[in-house]
Amino acid sequence: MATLSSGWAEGAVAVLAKELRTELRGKVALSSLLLFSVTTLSVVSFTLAGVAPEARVSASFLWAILLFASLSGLSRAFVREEETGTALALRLSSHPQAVFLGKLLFNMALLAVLEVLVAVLFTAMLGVRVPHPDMLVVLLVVGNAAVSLPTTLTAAIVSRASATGALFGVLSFPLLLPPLILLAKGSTVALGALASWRELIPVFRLLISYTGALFVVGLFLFEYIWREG
Amino acid sequence: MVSLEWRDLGKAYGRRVLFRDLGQRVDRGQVLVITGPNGSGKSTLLRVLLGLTRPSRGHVTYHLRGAELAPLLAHPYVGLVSPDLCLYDDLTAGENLAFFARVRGVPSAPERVKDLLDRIGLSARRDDRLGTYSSGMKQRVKYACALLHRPPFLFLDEPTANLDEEGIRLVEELLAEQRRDGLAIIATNEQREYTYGDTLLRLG
Repeated sequence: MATLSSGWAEGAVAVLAKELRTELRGKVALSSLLLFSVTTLSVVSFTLAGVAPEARVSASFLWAILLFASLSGLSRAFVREEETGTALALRLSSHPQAVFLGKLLFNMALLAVLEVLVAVLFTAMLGVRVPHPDMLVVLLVVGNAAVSLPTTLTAAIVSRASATGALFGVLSFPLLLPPLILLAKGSTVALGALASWRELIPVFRLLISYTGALFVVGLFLFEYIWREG
Repeated sequence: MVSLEWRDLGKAYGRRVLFRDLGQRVDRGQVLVITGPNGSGKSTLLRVLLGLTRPSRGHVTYHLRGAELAPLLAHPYVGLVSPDLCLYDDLTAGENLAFFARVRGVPSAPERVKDLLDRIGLSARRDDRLGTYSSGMKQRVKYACALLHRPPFLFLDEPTANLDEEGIRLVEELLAEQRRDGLAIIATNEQREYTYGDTLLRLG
């Protein structure tokens, strides 16, 4: 007879693998993310008509596009389990932390795909110059965790409610605002011509602290969210 | 020792009382059948016993090898077959069972999955997605999933729903095996399934 404590790290990897497999077959979240990002970038591109925006505006565009595209896909992580009736089987068989970590890793993987696509299209379609690509890459990596974490946690909270869409927006907004402000500020620096790593250190410090604190809180809070019926 | 016990158990939604003052003990080797009209709280009682719904009063205790466990802590030791429980339609039967074996940490999982697929008669369809299965075949896969980790506590809600005669015989065999190492609790309205139990609990 096996026990749940026989390794929730193994369980998290299993949940991640299951999510990747089902997503690759259905491509529901992926197509939603890609469609949203390409559409938004096209609209912005036509509006700017070939005039490259300044760093501050570019940074705001970048994170606004990433935010809204990710909200349309990442919120599905738990809602799909509830809608298809699979949440009960998962609830009975898995350690809550394994589910949380597996879903978080999946959302991070989805967002990473989106970030690569949006960053490439962003520079190509809007004609944005990136003087410090190394800084932007680090911001995107840290930003990935800072956006995926609150999104995954909020998705778990709203999954058992009836008006998931509206509730998701309302609950995720206050959690996403602090990291997004920091990410937009950091990206403004990275897209500016005279950027230095020293300017970015306070931004990274705050982002990592916020994400770390939210991760610890999320890990413990999730058990109550997941099991409460 | 394997047994499940509940005392003074009650559940109400607002003023509507589903059940109250329920007390029972089910020991290893026993099968309890819960019955009652629609809406009498059979499925809710199962959910309360599984810790998926909080009771309005009373408590449930699982006894296992000298330890007393609250329902949530007993999840590694329970199996459930229910119309409310679905498996992943986008995965094949083999992938579904392999996934649940992995998250449960079942030892020798590939062999166990193979054995159970043989047992439920679906080895030939193991690589077909569950979405292409009939409801009876899905019900069989649910049994395999519930029994993967050899749970001492087996919960069955409408156990023969969607099953043909061969499927029903399979359930009867599985129940006989469950009596050897554990216990089972069944919620049903089917007269035929009353005979599976040693004790009948009527709600409503």
